[in-house]
Amino acid sequence: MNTLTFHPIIHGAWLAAVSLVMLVAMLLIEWRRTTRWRPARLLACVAVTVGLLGIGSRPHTRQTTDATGILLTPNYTTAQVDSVLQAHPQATSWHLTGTPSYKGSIPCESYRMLPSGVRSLIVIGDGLPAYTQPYLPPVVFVPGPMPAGIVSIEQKQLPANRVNTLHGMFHNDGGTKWVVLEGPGGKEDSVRINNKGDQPFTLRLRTKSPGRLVYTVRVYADAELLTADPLPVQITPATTHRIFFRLSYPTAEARFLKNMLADQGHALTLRYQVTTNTYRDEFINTSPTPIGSSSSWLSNQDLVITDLYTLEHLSAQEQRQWNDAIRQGLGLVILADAASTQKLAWTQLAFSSNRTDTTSVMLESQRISVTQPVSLTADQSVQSLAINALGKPVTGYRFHGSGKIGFQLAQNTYTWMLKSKPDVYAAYWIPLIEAVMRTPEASSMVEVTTPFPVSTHDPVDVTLVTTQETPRIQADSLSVALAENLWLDGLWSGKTWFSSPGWHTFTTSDEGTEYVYVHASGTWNALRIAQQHDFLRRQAASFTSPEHASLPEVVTPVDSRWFYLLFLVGFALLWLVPKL
Amino acid sequence: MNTTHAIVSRIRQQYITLRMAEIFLMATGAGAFTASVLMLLNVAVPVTTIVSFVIGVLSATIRFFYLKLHQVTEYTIIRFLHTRYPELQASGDLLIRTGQEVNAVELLQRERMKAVLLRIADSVNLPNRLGFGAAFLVVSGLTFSAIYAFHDPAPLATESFTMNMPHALPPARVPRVLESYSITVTPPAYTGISPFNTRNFNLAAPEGSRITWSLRFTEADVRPLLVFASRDTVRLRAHDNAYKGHLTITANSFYQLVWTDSSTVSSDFYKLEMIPDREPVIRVEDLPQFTEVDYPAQSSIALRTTLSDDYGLADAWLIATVAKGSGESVKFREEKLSFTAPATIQGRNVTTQRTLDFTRLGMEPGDELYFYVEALDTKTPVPNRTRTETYFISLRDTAEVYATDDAGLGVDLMPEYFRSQRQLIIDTEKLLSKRKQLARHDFNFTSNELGYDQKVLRLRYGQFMGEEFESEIAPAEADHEEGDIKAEDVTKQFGHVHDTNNEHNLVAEKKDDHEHEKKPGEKENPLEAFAHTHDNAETATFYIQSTRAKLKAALTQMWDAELYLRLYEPEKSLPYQYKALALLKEISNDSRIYVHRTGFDPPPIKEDKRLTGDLKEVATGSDKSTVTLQEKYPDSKVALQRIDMLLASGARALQSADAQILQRAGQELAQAALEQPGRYLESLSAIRGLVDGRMDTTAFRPSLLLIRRALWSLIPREATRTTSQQSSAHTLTQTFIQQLDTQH
Repeated sequence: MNTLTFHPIIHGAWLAAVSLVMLVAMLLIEWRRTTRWRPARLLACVAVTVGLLGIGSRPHTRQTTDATGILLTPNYTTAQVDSVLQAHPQATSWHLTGTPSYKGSIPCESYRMLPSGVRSLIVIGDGLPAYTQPYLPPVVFVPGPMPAGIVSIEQKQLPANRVNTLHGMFHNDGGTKWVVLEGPGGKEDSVRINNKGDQPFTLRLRTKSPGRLVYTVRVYADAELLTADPLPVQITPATTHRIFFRLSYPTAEARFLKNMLADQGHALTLRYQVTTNTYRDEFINTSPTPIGSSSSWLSNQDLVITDLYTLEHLSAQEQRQWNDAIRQGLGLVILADAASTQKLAWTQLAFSSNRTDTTSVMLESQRISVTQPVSLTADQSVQSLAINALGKPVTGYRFHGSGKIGFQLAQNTYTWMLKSKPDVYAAYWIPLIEAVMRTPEASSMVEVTTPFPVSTHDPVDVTLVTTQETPRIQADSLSVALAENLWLDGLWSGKTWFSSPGWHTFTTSDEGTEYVYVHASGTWNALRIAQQHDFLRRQAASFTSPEHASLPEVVTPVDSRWFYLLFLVGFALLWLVPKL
Repeated sequence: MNTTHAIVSRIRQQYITLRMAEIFLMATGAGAFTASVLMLLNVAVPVTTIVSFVIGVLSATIRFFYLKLHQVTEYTIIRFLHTRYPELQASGDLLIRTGQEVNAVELLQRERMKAVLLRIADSVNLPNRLGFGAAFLVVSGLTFSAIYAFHDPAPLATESFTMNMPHALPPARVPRVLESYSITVTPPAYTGISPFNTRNFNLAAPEGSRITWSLRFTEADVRPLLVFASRDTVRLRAHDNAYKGHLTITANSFYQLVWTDSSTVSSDFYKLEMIPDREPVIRVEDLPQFTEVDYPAQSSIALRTTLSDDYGLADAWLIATVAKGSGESVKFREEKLSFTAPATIQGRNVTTQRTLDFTRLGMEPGDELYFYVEALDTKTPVPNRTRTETYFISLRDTAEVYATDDAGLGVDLMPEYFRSQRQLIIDTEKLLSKRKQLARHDFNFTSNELGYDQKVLRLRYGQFMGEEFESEIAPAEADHEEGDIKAEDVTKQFGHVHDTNNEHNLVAEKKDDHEHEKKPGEKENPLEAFAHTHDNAETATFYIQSTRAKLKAALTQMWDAELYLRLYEPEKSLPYQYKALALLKEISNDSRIYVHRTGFDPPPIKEDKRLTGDLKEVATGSDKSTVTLQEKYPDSKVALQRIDMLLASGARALQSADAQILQRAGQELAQAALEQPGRYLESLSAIRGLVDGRMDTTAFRPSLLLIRRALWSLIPREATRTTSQQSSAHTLTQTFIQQLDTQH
């Protein structure tokens, strides 16, 4: 039922009084005139007055509606809307700006301008982004057709000078598609998608110097370019660490490993046992210092590499010190070449001899033969890094307090260096060392929690874990308002917006830095739609029937142009009639 | 023959003549046309001539048989006349009928036709295409003449130059201030390439070419310079309203034109690529590198080689070495052989021949011939020289195989024992030290024995010099010295042989006669003195002249050493022995090939230290070393980051800091461009344009992309290094990780 309401620009009584006075005055003036067309002139006076009254009173129509609203978002289909309208004939439809209207749907500039009376909202089409969640009533989602394109892609920091892989998912609506990754030097990798539906893919890229680069992911259908989206890549620099070799005797394996690590700039301290109580020490890239095994000395090291014999022949005191140091974050790599004894129990790792010691590992996309005399006894808590042909770990580690204990079970890996395969050698050892190494601690850590891709003018959520009492974050040069978590001390969150595409920086007050790449709107269309679909599906899954409440009303202003027109027509008559 | 018959015959002759003329014109025209086309295609003149002639003859023949001129008779003519002249009333054949009776009607008709024929005989219009043929010939002739006159076939030198061009040069952007310009490249005379002009500032020229730039500017007093990447600068001199300068190209480089306008302005970078004069290429045809020949069944081998060079060959020859004998007495003879065909080596591609006659080379079964082919090109002042791998031809020696296999021969060909020079010195000194303790007889006996050993050693080394005749001395003395040799064997068992640098057997040593020791009780071979043994061929050395001289000198010293030992004056013998030893060591060092060992090479442990458990000298020690990491192309890495930032932010111009970053990266890029001139010049020009602010906004982004690509390719692939992720120092994180461990 429609009702009319007014929203006068001044008080209604004043407006009525002024209008009445003006009408009476005009009627008297025209009545006294002796010219012709008196009825018409009197009518024109009424028209002028009504026109002015209409402009000043701003009338609106009020209409009660169904409690369910329908929001049309891009890529809805008319069949979907018709079906929904059939189920909810009284429901009011809105369409977002940029979305075509359908069957008298009402334009809606923003999801935040939806009437508060809508008890449930049926969203049809591409959907709404996740940040609309606080403003949405319970939602039923009718997704529109999913366009072809990348619907997910891995985002991670990539180490420099390595072949890295990025996994993703491509939604194919039919036909053959090509996903091409282009870097600063041109084409890096490409993948052909043949099958219909969601297809996983992997792109490989070789990183060079550390820093932040923007790659481009292009999607082709045959030779036609469908999309070209920027892919930000953060390449982390190489880091150097303090590594301690404690070995019962010098080996070629240790020598080659030492050479590789020394060439990378690590500070190495080596101790080989020559005879009882006689050692050979070596200091590379570090000043000679007395080598000890106290927890304090070990706390200055990031990684200890040792052999099984040394580890099993540690004194009780040394064992305790090593254990403490590892629990405080130190990394330990065991070069195991024989079955372990009970003396190794404190590491919670055990090795047993293999009946067949020849196997292979997959390194740098090659299957490389290795000699593996021992195997790890089954341990669910072990993280495998390199696995052999039987699926058992050749290298891996387990957490031990804040630190990690790693193991390496292959023999004579140095022969890969002799065979001019340094990449294979590095691919075997570097992941193990990186994984087991003491993780550097930062007093503040910033994380952008908004999922990729972040767009201009979209809210960017950021969290900060810090030990500071009053932390501050700056987004480029602007401060971000932070709120501390109600239950967790030191966990802060904030929100900001970026207006320009490109790299932006979050800087904490203690010089911690996090980079985020802000995309121009219109990029990664399929990925955004997929995220919107996912978000609204999750929202719909939590939908419960709305409580019965008073029906919401839709208030629509009466177009004021009609009153202007009436006013002009009235005045035109008053001007014209005396001249006739 | 009657009159009418003669008339018809004359008409036939006329027809045939006309047609033949027509055929000639057409055939000549076809030949000329063919020649024109072939000339346009720059086909060689002899080929053009032959093909044109063949086409002409072929077309004439086809036309001849098409017209069936060989079948044209008087009746053919009459049939033709019947078609053209109805007044002959199809009775023309009566005019040429001979030897047949004609009836009265036919006679009457013939007389009538005779009159008709006489009337029309001179006006018969015989069919022909003489006009067409003449026109075709004229057109073809004119075409041929025009092409011959105006077509400039590519000179041979240019062909060659184009052939040597590694790739097409990209066109260069010419500065607008240049009103006109010309660049002249004058290759060295020996290349045979004529000087040529080019309009492209990107240049590729043969090695040693002189390049002359002649530039005319729109403005005066611009003081132009050519700045080369190798830091050379050529100032262009004003000459006839133009600026001129020149350079002789000796290496790959790039350059810029710099002139003074209101300020100093520089052009793009231009490529200057030197096309090197390649060495001659020699290919030995159909001969494997190792060949074994059944001699004398096959007494020669025909050697065929293909020589080629980019600009021309000057000479080539064979260096053949004949190796005769085996073991240490192997002899070599080297000869320089010329090719039998061709007599002189000239041109770019030459196929040479030479028959290697083993008999003429003085070879016998078991001998070997080593040879290689050497060639020089025409390059001046120093020609390029190249040679093949050494080829080996071995004449199979069947006799040697039988001797080795036949165990029943009863001859032990193992080399005899002899002492080393060092051992002789040790023994002599030992003898001198014991002089007072020994009886005179014993002293003299030992001295004589040492003299004998010295002789054996001298003879042994003498074999290297071909002094094998001296072995004849051995039989005469063999009998009475047999026992002495046995006695020396015993001495040898306790001795320490030092005759090579490989004293401690660090390298697996081949057991040869130098170290051969007789087992006690082993019988002396009675045939030993009469046998002629050579050493293993694998240990033979191809001595150079200085080595021979040294060996000869060593033998002389040995003679003198032996002399004094025989005279029981070992003290006088010692200086000669030392000189002989020194010379032998020099020879040994001259000829030895050292092989570097890669593994751990521990020093020898003294015998008295072994297994004693003495650890006094084993103490805790420490070493310190530092590995310096040197980052490659640091400025390019910084620039790459900055460019990516600029691209991501959509910038339209460089800030001054950005310009400095790019400029520093450009310097690194310029170094790389020196090695690969064509690769980075465009990027360098883009950097220069951006830094100078000459780049408009539309070209800004493409230029950045171009530079980014160049810098990316410049940055080398480096070894994989460790990286680390940070973790939070927050107590919550630490507690969480600590608790993880207790979960298991």
